[in-house]
Amino acid sequence: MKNKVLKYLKIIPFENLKEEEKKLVWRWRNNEKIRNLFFNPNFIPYEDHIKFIKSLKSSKNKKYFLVKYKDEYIGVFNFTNIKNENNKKLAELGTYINPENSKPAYAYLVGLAMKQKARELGIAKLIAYVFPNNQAAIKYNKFLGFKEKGIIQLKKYNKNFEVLKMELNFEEENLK
Amino acid sequence: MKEVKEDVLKDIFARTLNVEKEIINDDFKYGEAPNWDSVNHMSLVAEIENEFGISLEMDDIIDMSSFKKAKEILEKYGIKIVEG
Repeated sequence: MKNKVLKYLKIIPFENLKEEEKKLVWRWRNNEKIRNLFFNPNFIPYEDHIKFIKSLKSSKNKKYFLVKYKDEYIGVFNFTNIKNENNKKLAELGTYINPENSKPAYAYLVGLAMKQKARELGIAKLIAYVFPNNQAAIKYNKFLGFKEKGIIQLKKYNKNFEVLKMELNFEEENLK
Repeated sequence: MKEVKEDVLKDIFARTLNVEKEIINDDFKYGEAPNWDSVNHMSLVAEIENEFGISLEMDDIIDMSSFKKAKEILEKYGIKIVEG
């Protein structure tokens, strides 16, 4: 099924978004359901959103993507803090599903798109930081193959957060 | 068309979503029903495919958003869910 589905999945880099797609992503990001899952839950003004998208063109350590399945926009994922460590490419993963019209299997499809893009970019390991009370995200990450690495303190936006660190090792995945 | 008792499909839903069979009816919906989230949805699909020996198209997996809808989709695969 995976290969049949992949041909209908479109992974659009934020730099290539059309005007209406930029607005859609901005609306999603500011949706309360999504904002509350971010380290920065503040409302993002549209001008800042546009500036951020422009900044991605020259950025090498972060990549953001909108995922479309056939005619439906289904979610967003991003790789940030992309870096090389011991000759292996690592990145942090962020993802969310269309908060306005989430249908069964959208999360699965965004996961497929994310894994395909990570492999294309040669990412060896993905790291996800999840609030420990976000059981849905923990369960979803485990479904994708992430493993729990323990609770850690993380500093983001000048604040300290207690988060669960999770990792997905693509070298182990490929052995399965 | 193969006829299958509704109870068989209810058993699959109850077992996979870990809910009481008695609460499953046509109004049992994704996102509202207990435990029916995106991860359990894929387990539910796998159980249905195994039980009936079919392979669901992705569009049907996306559309299967209620117990009623599941019955309608199964008809497309030659499985008629009947009372009992």
